[in-house]
Amino acid sequence: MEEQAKTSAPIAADNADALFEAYADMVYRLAFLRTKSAADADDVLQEVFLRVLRAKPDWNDREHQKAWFLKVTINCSKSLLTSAWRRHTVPEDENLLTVMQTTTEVYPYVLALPVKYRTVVHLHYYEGYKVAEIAKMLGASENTVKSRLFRARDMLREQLKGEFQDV
Amino acid sequence: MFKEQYIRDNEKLHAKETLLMEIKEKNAQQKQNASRRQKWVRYGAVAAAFVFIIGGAIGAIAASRSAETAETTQSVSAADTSAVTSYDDIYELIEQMQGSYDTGSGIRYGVAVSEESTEADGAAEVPAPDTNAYSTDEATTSVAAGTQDYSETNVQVKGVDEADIVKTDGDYIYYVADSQLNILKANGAGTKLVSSTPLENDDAWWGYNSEMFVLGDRLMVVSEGYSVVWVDDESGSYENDTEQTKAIIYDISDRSKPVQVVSLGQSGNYVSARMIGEYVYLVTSQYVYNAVRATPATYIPSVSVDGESRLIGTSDLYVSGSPQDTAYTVIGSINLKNGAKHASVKAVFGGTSEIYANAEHMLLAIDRYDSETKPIAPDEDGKNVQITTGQSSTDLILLGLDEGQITKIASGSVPGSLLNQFSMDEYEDVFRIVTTVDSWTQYIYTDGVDSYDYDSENYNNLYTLDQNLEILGKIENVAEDEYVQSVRFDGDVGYFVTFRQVDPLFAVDLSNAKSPRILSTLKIPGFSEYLQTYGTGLLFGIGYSADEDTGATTGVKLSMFDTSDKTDVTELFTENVDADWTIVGGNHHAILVNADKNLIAFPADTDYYIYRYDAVKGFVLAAKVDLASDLSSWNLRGLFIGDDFYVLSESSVTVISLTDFTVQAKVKIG
Repeated sequence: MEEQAKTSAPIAADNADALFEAYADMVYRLAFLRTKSAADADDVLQEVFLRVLRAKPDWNDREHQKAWFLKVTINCSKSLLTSAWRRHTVPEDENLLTVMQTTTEVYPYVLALPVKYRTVVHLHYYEGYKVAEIAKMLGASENTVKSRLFRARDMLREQLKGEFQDV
Repeated sequence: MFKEQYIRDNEKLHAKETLLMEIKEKNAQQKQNASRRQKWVRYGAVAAAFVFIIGGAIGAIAASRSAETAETTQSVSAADTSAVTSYDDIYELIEQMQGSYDTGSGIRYGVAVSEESTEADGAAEVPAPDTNAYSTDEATTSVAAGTQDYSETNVQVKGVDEADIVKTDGDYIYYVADSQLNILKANGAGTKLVSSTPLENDDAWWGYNSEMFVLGDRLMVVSEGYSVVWVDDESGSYENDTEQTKAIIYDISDRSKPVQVVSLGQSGNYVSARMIGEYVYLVTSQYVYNAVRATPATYIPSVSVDGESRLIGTSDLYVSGSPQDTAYTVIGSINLKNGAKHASVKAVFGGTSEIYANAEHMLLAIDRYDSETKPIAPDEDGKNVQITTGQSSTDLILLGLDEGQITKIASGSVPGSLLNQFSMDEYEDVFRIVTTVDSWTQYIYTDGVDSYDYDSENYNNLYTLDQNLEILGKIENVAEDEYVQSVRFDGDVGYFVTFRQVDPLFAVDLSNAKSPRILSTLKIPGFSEYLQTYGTGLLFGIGYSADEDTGATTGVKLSMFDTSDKTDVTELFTENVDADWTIVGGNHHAILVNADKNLIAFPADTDYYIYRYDAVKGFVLAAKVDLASDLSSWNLRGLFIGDDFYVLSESSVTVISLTDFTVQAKVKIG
């Protein structure tokens, strides 16, 4: 194992305040992108932190801790997303969604991608993970992640103009 | 700058501070109740899944099928693969594909590359395979070797080995963990670590490891890394890293001192591998990012021997009829017994894939995703809208495998995409494939500020195909709005599970390939992610239970189905495991299911579970090993040799007696 990448010690699993301070926005951003709903993102965030407080995982460093939070966020929002009844009933015109769609530049285009594509885009461009790392987080093969990222870029390039063509 | 803007956009989102208070309160409450977990339930509905059992012929359906089939077969030609005459053919294709990004036109990749499909299969000058003749029987690890029986890697097709992080030959246990190759002498409570060899491994993050094969005194470790390519372009000569999968062969005649024999490289990242007889077939996928015309190594796959690389010859390259991505699937064969280089290599340009392999064939399934954007036009309410529709499909390429020789046999296509390797099967010369079709429509309203709407639907299909990959029969539009969660073919019968909120198990009669039919549908709560027959008339499933109101998963669940009457499959027993997650659905190598030994063993959360099955009592927990302190606990393995069961984790091997299921010893490794 490479030691140099793992210098900082993880925040203690019972220190809710410090964990919230460090990871709440990160969890919320991923959850919102996946669920497209402020209410659902709130639910996912609560569930993620409750799991931490319940399970008290034994992280070996900050990097591991962060990845753990992202992985659990994906799992928690997955259960919400797989509910087809919900997919058809949740109003998509929520206030925050509208705000995000009208006040941001590239976000709406990412949001318009199918969920599995926007998830890899987020983990890659926002969280800065490499394909191999995303694969581990999603429990998917590297190949799958690569092809999703590749295609997501392709779809984005079709929609995005000008300076954002470098996606 | 897309990335910077995307980050700025995200920074507008913040978690509400009040949520922290709510979390603390709920946590305090949960501690008080200490009752069974309840996932957040906000919506009311009904949740469960379907099990489909599939099989034979009904006149009326068969008649209407044949008409549809004729039509489908014609559209298949889009997936025809063609041979390549020069590297430049491919370069130009890549340039066209990548150049089309900024044209904004709806038609992309509509490139006809040397469609006059030269009969390259025959002409392909393939490096001669090692021809040292010896019996293959002796090479295949017989489970009865020595006096004790032992478990092998859980594979899809009997006799076709799959690479994994753990292997055993009945005497020794080979375990790759934490970038070390550990060899243990298996001897129950007296089990000892014989050697720990460090591996060059660029990919040791978070308990993820290389996989391996063992054949007699040879061991192959497959891991991912990089190779350096010197690029020459107008800006001069510079180094460029490209992904390369390495197959490192060790001589292990002295188990205490493995000696590296050779390191074979194959461009691209690791997809999967199979071992048939003494040949390993290694599948990688190579993405082309920046093709530089003067440096073919930037866009042509290569193989290497101890760092000396050579490009794949044009006669071994194929272009899929309508390439989806600027990427290759590369298939190489290596003789593990005595090989020192690749015996044969083929590469298909167009995308990357899932693979299925039996003793004679390898089927590559390349995911496609086609979309079409219509011009902006007013909708029925007079609002201007730009509609884009997209749909998934799969290109298929059939390869023949024969003693290391790889030949292209046929190509075809089916609608929908595959779940995993278990979605494909071959039985009595007929291929069977289960797919999920995902189709979506995106609406961009262009009046004033752009606004978006998104609609998607999906359904599931089953296809039977002949040796030319032409569709023989099909069942389409099954379980609308559900996704396939698991598939298992068993001779004339196929089973698949789809899930929305209720899990249906479908049984399909496949005895007449031209007209498969659904024999029964079983609706049960939750869904199975992995299926395996358990003795005669039983089917075992592992997956998740689900909240009947929301469809949210509530924990790992085991099911035993009675399949003795295929027209009336029933769920005999279920067991809720006290865990949220298991890797088994994503990697079947992690589970051991053996009806003869009466063992069902798998990791879930941070524990390893060993269950037995009793016809009266159902699932009975025999042992549970807590490995929470181990970082690799999400990806544990178990195996048995004789009457001893071994649970392997990064830091230790736990030995459990199969006579009374007590822990005999804990051997430290790493």
